[in-house]
Amino acid sequence: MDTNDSDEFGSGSGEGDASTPLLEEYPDLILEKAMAIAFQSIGDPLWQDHDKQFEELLPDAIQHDISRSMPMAAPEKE
Amino acid sequence: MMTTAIALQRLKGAVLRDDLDDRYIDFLNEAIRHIATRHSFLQMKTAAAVTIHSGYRSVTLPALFKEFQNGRYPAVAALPAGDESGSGDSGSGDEESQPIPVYSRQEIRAPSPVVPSNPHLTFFQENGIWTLKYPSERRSIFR
Repeated sequence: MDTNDSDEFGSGSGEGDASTPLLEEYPDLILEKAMAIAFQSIGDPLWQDHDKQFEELLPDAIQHDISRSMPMAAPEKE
Repeated sequence: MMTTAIALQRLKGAVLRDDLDDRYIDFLNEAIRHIATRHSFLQMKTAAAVTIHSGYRSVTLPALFKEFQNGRYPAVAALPAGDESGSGDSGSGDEESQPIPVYSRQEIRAPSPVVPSNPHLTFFQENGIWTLKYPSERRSIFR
């Protein structure tokens, strides 16, 4: 079963040293999107640059994830 | 290791707006939510057992549920032996486990709907709560 936002930080937890699996694995991807959201919220056109960067990083992250989720081939019998 | 504190520090350093200090955590969370909708990453996967007990027709799924794994058959039904339709009318008293298909409500209500086989389960979200439901009165138990 997949959980949608299991990585979400709880209120106030952001000031601690907690981490999450998604953040550990894809920090740049998450930060680019967070920057895009932050800049968009204040009407700064920089958000488009960060969103573009995010969209460029996402396929690699997905490919990396798919590659990792592929089962390893069983060793050939001698 | 990228911790929440480091991520927030980098985010603040890039945006440089002190008046947003209370919102950076929200931006980070929103980014994670967005990414989680774009792809189901390995880090999002977890296992949870839910049971529809005899006499009940539905069960609430965990709050962070997104989608099932194991293809069309993530559930197991304990059906009366010989009761392939799930009608509960075999009469022998014995039970046997069998995989049971699960369909989303959208699939069944789509303009070109999927025609579910019987027995089956449906799952849907209402008011933010995911529910797994057995669509008719049956005596089966799902795990």
